[in-house]
Amino acid sequence: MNACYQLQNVQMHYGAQCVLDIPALHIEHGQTLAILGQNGAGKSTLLSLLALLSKPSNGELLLFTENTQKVSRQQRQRIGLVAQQPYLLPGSVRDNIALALRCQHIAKSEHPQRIRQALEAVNLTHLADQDAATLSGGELKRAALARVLAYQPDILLLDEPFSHLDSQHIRQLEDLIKQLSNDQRTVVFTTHDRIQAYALASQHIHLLNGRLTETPLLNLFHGYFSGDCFDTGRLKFYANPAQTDARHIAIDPREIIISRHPDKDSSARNQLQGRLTQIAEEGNEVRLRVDCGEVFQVIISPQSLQQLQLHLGDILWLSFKASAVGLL
Amino acid sequence: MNYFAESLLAALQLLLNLDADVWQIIITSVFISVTAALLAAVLAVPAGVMMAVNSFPGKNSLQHLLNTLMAMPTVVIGLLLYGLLSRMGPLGEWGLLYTPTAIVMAQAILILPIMMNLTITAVNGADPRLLPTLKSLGADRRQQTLQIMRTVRLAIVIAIISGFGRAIGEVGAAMMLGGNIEGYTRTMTTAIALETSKGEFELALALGIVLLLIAFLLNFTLSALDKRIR
Repeated sequence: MNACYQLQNVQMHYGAQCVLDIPALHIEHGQTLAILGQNGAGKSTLLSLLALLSKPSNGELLLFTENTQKVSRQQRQRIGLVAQQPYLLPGSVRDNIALALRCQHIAKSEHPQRIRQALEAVNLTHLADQDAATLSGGELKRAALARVLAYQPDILLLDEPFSHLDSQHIRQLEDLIKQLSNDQRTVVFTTHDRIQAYALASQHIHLLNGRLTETPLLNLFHGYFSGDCFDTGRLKFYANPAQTDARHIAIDPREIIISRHPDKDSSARNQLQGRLTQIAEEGNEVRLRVDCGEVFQVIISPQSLQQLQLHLGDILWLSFKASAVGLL
Repeated sequence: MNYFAESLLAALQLLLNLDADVWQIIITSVFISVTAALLAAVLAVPAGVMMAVNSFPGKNSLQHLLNTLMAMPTVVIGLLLYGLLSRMGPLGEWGLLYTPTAIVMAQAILILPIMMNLTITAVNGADPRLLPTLKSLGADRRQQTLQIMRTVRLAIVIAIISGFGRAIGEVGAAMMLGGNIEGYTRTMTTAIALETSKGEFELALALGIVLLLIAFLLNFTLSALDKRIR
């Protein structure tokens, strides 16, 4: 496998504000990468950089080990971007795909076959001649995907590809992403949905305020340090006060211990009482939602679920160590 | 009042009788202004698109210059071109002074900033995702410009028609550079100015009516196109 993207000390500034700061990121060719993060975390900015539509304010971005300071036509041809709210040019869906093929200098004799295959891949053959302006949100998204698939880029960048799609087309797109990955294409997509990201992608990155974070962004709370406690306004957490300028904390859902009664002997300094509001099975794990003033997600094993005999509405105690509180 | 009414009647008769002199002037005028509008469009539309989509040093200053040029008095353009095209001027050898070509040049220069500015406004008003989409699809500069022009084509037609409207109503430069030579460089506006000063009010009024009709027609077309854009 060779490196598809290599980012070194990449920063993106809008005026004085730094919206993206990535010390290092390597994406191997043929890999499927999910970019997770909340709205405004910098996901689309990162995708726009990877699409070579904007240049980083600082740092270096290599595409297949080549510099991208001056973008060549060959480099553009390797990348297909489907924006979060794609724009289709005036004309039919077919016109739009044909335009992409013309831009990519693909022989006209190949156009009919490529257009047909691309439309079949997104299940849009019946709308080939429909005016793009009359498409629904989901159809628009699939048409934009077909427009990109038609020129068969090595890299597919998909910004929130599953939004606006119904469940049937979500499944279809998931299959398509898996198939593209099997065909040794690199797929990078942004999403809010962690489960989808983990199911589809071999690599995941989490963005928070434009920075990469190691901690999975569950139990993410905003607040500030006062003394050796992190105060969210509703709750106070004991945390390691090494980084007192932190504005967010995230607590690993596997580090939280559930019990019926407070554990006085425990070394866990954070003990919170809450009400169980959701129990969901996910693969080999059980996900709980517990409302302690802030809503917590806790992941436990099916065995623990049986032992504790949990029911919705139960009052539980959550405990976790100060070291389980990740500072961001 | 009687004088005006009689003149108006005579003017209408001139038009309805398809008076050869009147039609000669109308045709010359329309030909010159259409040529000027097309010439200016060929330069101004692509230049406007390029200016709208690209960032370069001095872009703001150029925009200010264009805005200033939009308000340039036609006699000043006439004066400058007169200096260039007169026998003593640097382009005197071309022998263009007092020809329709000289008027076309003046009118094209006059309306070029207007067309360019309207094109820039049209492109800036297009969907902000248009250019990134074209870039990401691998469109080169030429393809980008053509597709943007295609997308905002109605607004570009409006820009060209507006330019034509300004050109056909212009009098200062046409008088100074065309010389109002009968059957050659006499346009509607220069004829109106001359005939009125000669006291030939009917002919001037007939031409005035035609100019008004053209203005009405242009405005009607513009508002129809504008509605289609919205």
